[in-house]
Amino acid sequence: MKSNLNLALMSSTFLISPVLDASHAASLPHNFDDHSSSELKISDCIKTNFRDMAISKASQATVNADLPIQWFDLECLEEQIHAAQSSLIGGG
Amino acid sequence: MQLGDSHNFGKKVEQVSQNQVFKPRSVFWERLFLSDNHFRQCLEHLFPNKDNFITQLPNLKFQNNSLFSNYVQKIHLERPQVDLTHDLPIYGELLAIASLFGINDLHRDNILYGFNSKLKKNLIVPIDIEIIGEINLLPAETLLIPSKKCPWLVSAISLLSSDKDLHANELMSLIKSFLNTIELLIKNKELLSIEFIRLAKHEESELSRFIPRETVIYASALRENDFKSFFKSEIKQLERGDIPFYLRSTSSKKIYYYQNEHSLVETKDFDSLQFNLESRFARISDGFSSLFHLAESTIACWTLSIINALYKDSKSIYIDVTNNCSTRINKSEVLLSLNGTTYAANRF
Repeated sequence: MKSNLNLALMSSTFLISPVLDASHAASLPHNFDDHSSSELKISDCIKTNFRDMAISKASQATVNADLPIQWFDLECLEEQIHAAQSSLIGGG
Repeated sequence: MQLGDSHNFGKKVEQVSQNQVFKPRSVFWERLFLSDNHFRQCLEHLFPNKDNFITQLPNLKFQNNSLFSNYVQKIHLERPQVDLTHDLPIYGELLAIASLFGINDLHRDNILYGFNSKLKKNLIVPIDIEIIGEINLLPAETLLIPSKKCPWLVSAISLLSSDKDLHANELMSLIKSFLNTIELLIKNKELLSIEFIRLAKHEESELSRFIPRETVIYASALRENDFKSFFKSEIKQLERGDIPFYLRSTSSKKIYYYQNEHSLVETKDFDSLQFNLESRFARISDGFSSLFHLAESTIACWTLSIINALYKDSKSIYIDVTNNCSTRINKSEVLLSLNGTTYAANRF
């Protein structure tokens, strides 16, 4: 399933790079490039909760061409969203 | 003119005059976003740019302020002008705020999208904010974007684009804004938690709407007069011709419904659900802090799910979203590089 992937994202042959123009980028709320002060680091997100655990369960790590990739089963997660309602059907 | 479903002994949202709408329910949560108050000012100040989702929201007049009877100023907007370059980043900010705060049920009918001739721009305004604090698995739970169970035309994105698909540039501007806003909110999680704790002092913050089943299921049962598959509290409400309406406590796992017009009673009907109610809902007494526990892999998963929902073209593309985030979308997979780690998902 994943063997045909070109895992080197940056070397894609389908580069169209529709990058935002400078004026648009300047209007955005936060400079994502300035990651030095960001709290979006895995080390800071060790605390797990229902959400992280559910998403983790719906994922698997693979290594292809020396590049580790975490795969998510989005269909499974969408099913989980509706599991509560499904469990109600006929539950009365 | 009556505008909504019948709840709680036949009460409906009603347009009572050209400039006023009657809502027979608490408007505490939407008042936070649609009027001038400390919480909104706090959110506004988080954004370094002046033109963002929060600042474009109108300041509406709210009257009464009770659990049962409120009058809200009606918003008048003209037909939206085509300006996705401006509107999609705003929508990305809304998607981030709603996904993280657990503000759900923002389907097409609960969002107003139109042109404000005075401001000379389109506005995106959630007009019914009844649910908050739900720990969402995916952004699609907000109903702002489609999923398998929520068609494009039900999700609010269909207000901006009827194409059932976004172009690569459009998708990128939304994703970039979404990621920036998520980062902004997480960076300020302590401040936001303090604000929510401050809100917890208000009695009305104790309640958020709980929707156990889709309205169409109840509507169908009412049409067919067949209530046998429902719980007792649902049957009571269906028998009086109402779409069942529940409120949940934002500080415990209690679920309530209106037994009489003005008195709430707790129901244990949903205790048997397969999922643990407590694990799905953040507590306001904790400042909704569990909403802000978001692993980087979860952010990547959310981003992949948005791409999967909004980009249907089979053409392979590569997009540099930011210096730290890029995505490659193939016919059957989408890959995301975020802060040097690669994540992927199959498209469907």
